[in-house]
Amino acid sequence: MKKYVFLLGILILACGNQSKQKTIEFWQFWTDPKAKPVIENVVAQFEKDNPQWKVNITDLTWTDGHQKIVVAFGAGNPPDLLELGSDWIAEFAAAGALSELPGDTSGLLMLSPGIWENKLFAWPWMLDTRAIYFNKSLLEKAGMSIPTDWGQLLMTCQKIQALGEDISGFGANSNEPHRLYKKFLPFVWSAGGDIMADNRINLDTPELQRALAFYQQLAHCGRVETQKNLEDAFCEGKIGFVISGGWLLKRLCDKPPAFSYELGHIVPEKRGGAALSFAGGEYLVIPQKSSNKDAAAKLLHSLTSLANSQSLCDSVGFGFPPYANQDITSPQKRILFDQLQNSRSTPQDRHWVYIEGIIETMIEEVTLGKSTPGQAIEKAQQKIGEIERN
Amino acid sequence: MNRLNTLILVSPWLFTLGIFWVFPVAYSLGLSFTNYSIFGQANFVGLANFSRLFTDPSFLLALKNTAYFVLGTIPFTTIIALILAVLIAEKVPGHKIFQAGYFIPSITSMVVIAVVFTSLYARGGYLHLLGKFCGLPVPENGYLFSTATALPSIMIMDVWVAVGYYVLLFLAAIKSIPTEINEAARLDGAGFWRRLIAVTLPQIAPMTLFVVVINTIRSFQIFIEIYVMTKGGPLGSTSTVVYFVFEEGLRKFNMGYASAAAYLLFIIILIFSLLQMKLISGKGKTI
Repeated sequence: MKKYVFLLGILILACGNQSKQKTIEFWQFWTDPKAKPVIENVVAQFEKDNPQWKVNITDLTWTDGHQKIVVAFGAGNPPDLLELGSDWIAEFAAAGALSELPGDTSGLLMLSPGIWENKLFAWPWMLDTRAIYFNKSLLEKAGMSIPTDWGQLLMTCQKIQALGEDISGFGANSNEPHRLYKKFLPFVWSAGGDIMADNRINLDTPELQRALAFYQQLAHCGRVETQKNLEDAFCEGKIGFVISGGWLLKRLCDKPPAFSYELGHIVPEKRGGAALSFAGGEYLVIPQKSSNKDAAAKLLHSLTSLANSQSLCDSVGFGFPPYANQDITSPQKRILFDQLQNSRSTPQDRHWVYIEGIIETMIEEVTLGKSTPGQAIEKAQQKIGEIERN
Repeated sequence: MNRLNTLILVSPWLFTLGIFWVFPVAYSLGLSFTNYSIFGQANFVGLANFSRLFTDPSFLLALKNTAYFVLGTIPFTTIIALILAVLIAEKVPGHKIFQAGYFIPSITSMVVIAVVFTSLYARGGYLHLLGKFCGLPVPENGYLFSTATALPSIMIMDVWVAVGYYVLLFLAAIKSIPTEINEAARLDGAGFWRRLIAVTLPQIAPMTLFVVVINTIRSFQIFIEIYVMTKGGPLGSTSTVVYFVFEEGLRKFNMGYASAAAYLLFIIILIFSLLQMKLISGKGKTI
C-alpha cells in the first residue's frame, strides 16, 4: 500500500512540475537542413536560460504557409511567435492581428515593412536584396563595358542578344506571383518615382511609365522566364544580365561557372542617379491573441540578435542580419550590403495581395505586347481604384 | 437490434462523411451567401456573390478557359482511347506492353508529370526544340509563356495523361461483348470495319457515355496542372474555374465569393452530368 502511495506522490509531483512549464508556440519557415539546427540551438539556449518555458517549433512551407497562418488567425488560435515574409505584414497588422513590439530599434535596417500606422509590429530577422549579375565574358564578346545608365544597359543587352540564337541580353521575369513586382519596382524607384503617394497606390506617374517602357524594351532583347530558369540560364552562360539575390552568388561560388561574372548595383536611369533595389526579408511578429507575449518577445530578441541572425545567414550562405554596422570582408557581399542599404521594400497597403497581382498583370501585358505602357497603367489604376472603393 | 448493429458498424464512416464532407459542403453553401473573409464578420449578402460572378472578367475568363479545356480534350481523349482499346483488343503484336504503357501516366503523380512537361515545354526544352526543328512557329520563350499556346499545351499533356485510364475502361467493355456476336458477324462475311461499326461501337455505347461523363467531370475540375505549370498565366489565359476558386478563397481569402464560384461550378457539372446520364439511360433502352 505504502508503495502505491509513494508512486502516486511521485506521479502528482511529476504532473505538478510539468504544469509549471509553459509552452511558446513558434512557427517558422526554415526547413533547410543547415538552417534548422541553428534555430534549434538558439531555442535550446533560450529554454536553458528560461527553464519555465518550452518552445514548440512548427515548420511551415512557402507553398502553403500563408494559408495556414491566415487560417490560424481566422480561427483565433495563432502561435505565440511567428515568422512572416516582409510583404505579408501589412495584411495582418491592418487586421489588428499583431501586437506592437517593444525594444530598442536603433541601428536596425529595413524597419519600414514592419511599421503600420507608425507602430512597429514586425522585427527584422534576416534581410536580402537584389542586385545585377553581369556575364562579363558575354559583355567582352559584345565589345561592351559595364553599363552605367539605362541607355547603355539597353544597348549592351541588344548587342549580347545579337551574339547568338540561344544567348539573351536580359533575363526578364515572367508573371510568377510575388516575384515579378520585386524585379520591376527597382526600375520605378531608380527613375525617381514611387507607387505610393499619400498612403495610396498611384501608378499613373511619368516615372512608372518610363520604367515600364524600359522594362518592355529589356524584355524584347532578352528572355522571359521564371526566376529559377533565368538563374539556371545565367549559370549556363546564356544571359548577359539577370537581377537576383544573394542566393545566386552562393550558387555561383559553390559551383564556379565557365565564364567570368560580376555583381553590380542596380543600374540607374541616368548616370550617377539613384540606384534603388528591392529588399525583402524574414520578420518575426507576436500575434495579438498570444497569451505569452513577454516570453515570445524575449525569444524574438534572442533569435534576432546580431550573432544569432549572422549564424542563420551563414548557415544558408546568403542574407544579412538586420543591422547597419556589420563587418563584411567579401567584396561581392559588400556590393549586396551596400545595395541593401539603398533598397526599399513592399509598399505598405492592406490590399497589397490584390495590388501586386494587378501590377504584375500590368507588366506582363506590356512585355507580351498586349498593351502599350500607357494603356496597361490606366487599366491597372482603374482596377486598384475599384479595390479601394470596395 | 440488427439495425442498431448496422448503424454501429457504419458509424465511423458516417462520422467522417458528416464531419469532412457533409458539414463543409453545407457550410460553404451558407458562406456563398455571405461576404465572409477570414479576418472579418460574415454578413448576409443574398445572391450578390453569384451576380458579381457574372460580371467579373476574371471569372468569365476562367469559365471560358474551362469550357475550352473541356470541349478541347474530351473528344480527343475519348477517340484516342477508343482507337487504342480496339487495337489492343485485336491483339496487335506487343499489345500487352502497349496496354501497360498507356496506363503508366494515369498512375503517375500529376505534379510529377506537370513538372516534367513544364521542362519539356520551356525554352530549350525537348518539345520546344522539336517544334523549332520541324519548322513550326514556336513561341520564343517556350509554349507556357505565350497566351496562344499555354492552354493548348496543357490540354495536350492532359489528353496524354488521361488516355490510358479510358483505354482500360474501353478494353473491359470490348472484352465483355459476347464472342457469339462477333463470330456470327464473321460468318456473315463482316470484316474488321463492319464489325467495329455494327457490333463493337453499339455494344460499348454505355461505356462510351460513361467515359464522357467522368471525363467531363474530371476536366471541369482541372487544377493541379494549372497550379504547377502556369499559375493561371500568362495573362489569365490558363486560369480555370477551380483555380479561380483557389485564388479567391485561399490567396485572397474571399471565402464567400469563392464558395459562390465553387457552387456555380457544381451546378454546371450537375447539369452536364444529368444531361449525359439522361443520354445514357436513353441509349440503354435502345441496346
